[in-house]
Amino acid sequence: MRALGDALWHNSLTVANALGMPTDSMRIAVTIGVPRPEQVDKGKVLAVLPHGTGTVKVVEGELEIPTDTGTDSTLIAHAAAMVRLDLP
Amino acid sequence: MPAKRVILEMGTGYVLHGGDYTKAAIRAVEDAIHHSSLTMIRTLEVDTKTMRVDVTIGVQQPERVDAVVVKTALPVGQVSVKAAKGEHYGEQQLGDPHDDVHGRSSGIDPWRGRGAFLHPAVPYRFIAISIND
Repeated sequence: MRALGDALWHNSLTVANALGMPTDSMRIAVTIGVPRPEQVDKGKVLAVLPHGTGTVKVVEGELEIPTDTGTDSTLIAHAAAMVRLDLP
Repeated sequence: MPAKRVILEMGTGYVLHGGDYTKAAIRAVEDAIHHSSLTMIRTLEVDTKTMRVDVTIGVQQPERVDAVVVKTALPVGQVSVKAAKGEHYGEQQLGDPHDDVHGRSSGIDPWRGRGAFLHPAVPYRFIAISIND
């Protein structure tokens, strides 16, 4: 969720409005990279998207760095959000 | 044809030492533009020569930003760069870190400039890319 938020909130995408289309007409294909894909709640990731309809694909990737004690870890996820519009 | 804004890209840049505002501004620009791939340029068959890229840099001392140098950090488009006075982020970020009267060492004050800083309530500090309708 944070990785996706990081991807989204570096931009304000106004291309839909510029083309005279509603922002909810955007289709967003999200890809998440984490070490253990099965532990990602796709519904919660999708809920991050403010406009349009989305799909989430989770693949194995990125890093999990354990602490010295091995009881916890720092997790690094990557997110890519591909935005599509149906153009006339 | 009127230009319409298609994306607003935001980024932050820092220099930790030396107080080079232009360098901080360029890093902010790099941060802003490298979070997105503007595939719409190809999809909509936009001529990048007609694309407008308006850059606003928010820093404490705008006159210390060399806009001509910052402009070279943008790869395409008709680029305009302006620097505006940025926000204050607390007392310790104001003033000159080289000024020991205020008890700060130049070596430990990391703040020298922010560019295109993300702040939802402030509608400037951005790179706005517009294409012709």
